[in-house]
Amino acid sequence: MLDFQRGRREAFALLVERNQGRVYALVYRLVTDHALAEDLTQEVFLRVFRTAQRYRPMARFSTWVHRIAANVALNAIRSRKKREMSGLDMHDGEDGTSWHREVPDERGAPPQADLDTAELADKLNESVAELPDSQRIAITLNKYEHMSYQEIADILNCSTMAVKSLLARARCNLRDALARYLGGEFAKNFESDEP
Amino acid sequence: MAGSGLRQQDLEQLTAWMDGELNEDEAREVIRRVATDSRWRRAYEDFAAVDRALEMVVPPTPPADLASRIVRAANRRRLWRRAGGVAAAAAVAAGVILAVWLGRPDGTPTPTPMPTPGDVIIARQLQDVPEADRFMVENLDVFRNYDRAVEYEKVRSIADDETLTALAALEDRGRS
Repeated sequence: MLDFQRGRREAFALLVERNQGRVYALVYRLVTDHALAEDLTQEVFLRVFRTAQRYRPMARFSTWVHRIAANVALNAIRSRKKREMSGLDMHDGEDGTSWHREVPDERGAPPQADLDTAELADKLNESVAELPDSQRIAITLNKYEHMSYQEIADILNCSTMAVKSLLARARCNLRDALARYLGGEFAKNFESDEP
Repeated sequence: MAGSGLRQQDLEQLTAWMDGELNEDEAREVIRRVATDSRWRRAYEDFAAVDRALEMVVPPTPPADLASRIVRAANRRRLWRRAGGVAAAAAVAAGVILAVWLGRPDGTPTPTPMPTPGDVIIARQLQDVPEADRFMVENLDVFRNYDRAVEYEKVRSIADDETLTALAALEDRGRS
């Protein structure tokens, strides 16, 4: 990044090459749309290109660029939500009162012994994608970007208490969505090595 | 919602503990409850399984050509920005040339001086300057007389390395 700031244009290509994978992954997890994720990833790096002179090496470059990515994705989600206003299914209210969405309890369903890891991953991805936006953003930033509650609160423009609530609700929703797997083969596949 | 029977407030404390967001006293209290209360224990095990599952998911990968598309888009934007800067500089230069020409007592343009050896060296350096910037370098004298103009600084700020080298050489010649 410092090379790019000094005017070496080829440094920008290197910077994109090194960081595009993680930026794309973060943006895709937030917007859950491949085409939009590609456009937004490009937008993130164009912002980096435009604002490179503002970067100060006090924070790691990856932290800086991921913060930009989270904000770009969040803006896209807000725009999308505005466009969908006519739908009236505002299950993810800004006031935090209706973040929880009812997920059918699948604990009673018969477990499928032949589920492979890919299917489990698909189910998990699907469940994360179906989380209300605020919960999906919070858990993505927390689990994959390892952001603190304060950092997430800054990005979502809410309190740390609200972040705590979002994360608890997200875990509950995922637990319920994956309930049929949690006690069977699923749990075995994801068992930790830790005691 | 299927669950452990814990209150939302308790689930939030459990979550915060698992994320390392509680202070020592709060963490101790959560640990005590997980160790002694089966509902807390079950909620903890469920959340831990969810966390482990999230960590196992393979991250989505971008298309193979995304990086090159991004770099191309950035270069296009840079060229557009430069074109805008050069256009602004051209407008300023035209205005200054007109002002200088009109200010001459007999209204005739300044005669072109004979090239010096320094001019020849600089002419070679100019060959490396991108076409878009050449106008700016070739009219440096005009710009130098106008060096307090914001546009001049703008032009400098967008110049290539090669252009800046040529500019520096011309400026050195002007000072000597």
